[in-house]
Amino acid sequence: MTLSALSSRDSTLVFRSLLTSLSSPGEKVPMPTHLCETMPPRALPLLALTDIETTFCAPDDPDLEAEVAELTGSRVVSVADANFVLCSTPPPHELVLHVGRGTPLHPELGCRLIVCTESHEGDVAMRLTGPGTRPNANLSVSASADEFIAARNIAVAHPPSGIDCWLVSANGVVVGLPRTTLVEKR
Amino acid sequence: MGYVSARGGLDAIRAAERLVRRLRLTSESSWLEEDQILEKLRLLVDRVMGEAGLWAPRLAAKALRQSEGDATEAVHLLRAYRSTLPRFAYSEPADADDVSVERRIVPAFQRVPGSQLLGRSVDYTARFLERQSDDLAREEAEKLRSEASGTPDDERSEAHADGDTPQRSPQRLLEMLREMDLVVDRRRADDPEPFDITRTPARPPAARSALLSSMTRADTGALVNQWYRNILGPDGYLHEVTLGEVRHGAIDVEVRHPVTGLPVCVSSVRVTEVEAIEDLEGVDEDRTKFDVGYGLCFGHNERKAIAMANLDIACHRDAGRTQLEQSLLLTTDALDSAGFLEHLKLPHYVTFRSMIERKFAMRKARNRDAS
Repeated sequence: MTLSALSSRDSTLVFRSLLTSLSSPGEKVPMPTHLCETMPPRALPLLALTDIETTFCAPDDPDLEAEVAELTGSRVVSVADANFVLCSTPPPHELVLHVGRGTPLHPELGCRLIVCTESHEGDVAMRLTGPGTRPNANLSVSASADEFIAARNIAVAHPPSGIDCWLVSANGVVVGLPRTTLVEKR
Repeated sequence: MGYVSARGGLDAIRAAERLVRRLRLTSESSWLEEDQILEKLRLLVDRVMGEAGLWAPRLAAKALRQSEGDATEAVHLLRAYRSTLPRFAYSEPADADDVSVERRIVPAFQRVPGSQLLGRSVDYTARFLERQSDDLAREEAEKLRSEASGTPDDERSEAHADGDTPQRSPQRLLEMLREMDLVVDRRRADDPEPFDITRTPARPPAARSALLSSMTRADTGALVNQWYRNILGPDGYLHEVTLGEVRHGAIDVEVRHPVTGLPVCVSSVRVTEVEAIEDLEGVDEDRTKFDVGYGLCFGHNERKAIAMANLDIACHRDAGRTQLEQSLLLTTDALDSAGFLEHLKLPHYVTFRSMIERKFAMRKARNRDAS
């Protein structure tokens, strides 16, 4: 599947899905079906949110990285400097701790990390608490994502600095983990 | 204790949202078309686009319909939508002299370079509320349509004060004043990047581009209020104001083509532009000359552009002596001020409960001291 630039309407639809997922951490929010059928869902957040004033990288997917850069005008930079980082699999500990977290004065500079997962079903059960979470909010992740969550918890340990994450499944369902959400093993 | 904190529910919030939507969509009157809003409420559409900082007439009409005519809410909707749009390119600098004027008046001079072009204006009209029946109004509309169909430029030539063919890009009065060496020359040789208030909030002391951008997106009423306060009110800044140019017209927006690198026109926007002439009289000023303030905003909104031009020069002359700049930058944005005001309606249970507890604690301490 090749990528194409999103229309402003489609861009808004993806934006709404991503916003909803961050507003209700742990909720499974579908991204627009018609887009997920024609493009890899993992690319949609980048296509919707990046432009000539943002930076990004996809270190393990150079082809997609080049296409997104061409379609959006966004600049490819290093992991540490990127506003958005896309990882095709749950990233290793070192990468998560290497992305930008912003500063107490500029927490908005913290990275938005997009992590691809096969599905939102896994063997490791997590409990989510914090603003926007429903009572008894859960998240099931695979064992490989477990390490990523542990690293993510370190990256958000000093608010307001931190990172915001989206877990994007292969079928285009997104789960948001804003920096304000506490994720613990059950 | 009489005060008990309550807990708001998501269900109640969703029900309130549904109520707004249902009553808006199911009202008995006929559907309000976008074209009706665009044509019949054009000035309101222009105002919303100006305060939202987005030239998108149809979206502004949609926003006004969704907000049920609440201009500030429409600005909120439009700006929120704008914030989700990616930026594809930056426009090329546009020269205000390229504005093709539909209306141009120069209150300072009767005979001016170019000409006076009154265009569409109620400035000289007595304000009588038209109370004829809708049928009569429709009849008149039909008559006017048939009259105008043969001579499309009728109104323009009628509104042209000098009787000559109107110039669409007339020379400015300012140029004439410059030729007479009557204006302080504050043009700068360098060309700094303009301040982008959509990315970074402007704070004093700010670049002039930040001040002008803030005012061009400011709430019209707030700007008029600042102007009135400044010119008559407690700021004590009584001064002579004369308008050099009041223009309304259209200008092309160009961007560089990503392949050819050549500028291409991607849109045309209407703007109102004003130059305000200030009589310099301060001890540290050149009293033999005038200075000029500048105002420009989206759409047809002369009130705003005039206030802006006057406040631009007032701010320059003030040079930080009063809180004028701070006031303009921090208190005139519609979304900012209305948002802060309206947040008061959100639950403040915790803060108010702590205030009550402090009152009880103080009362307890006072009673203890008294005994």
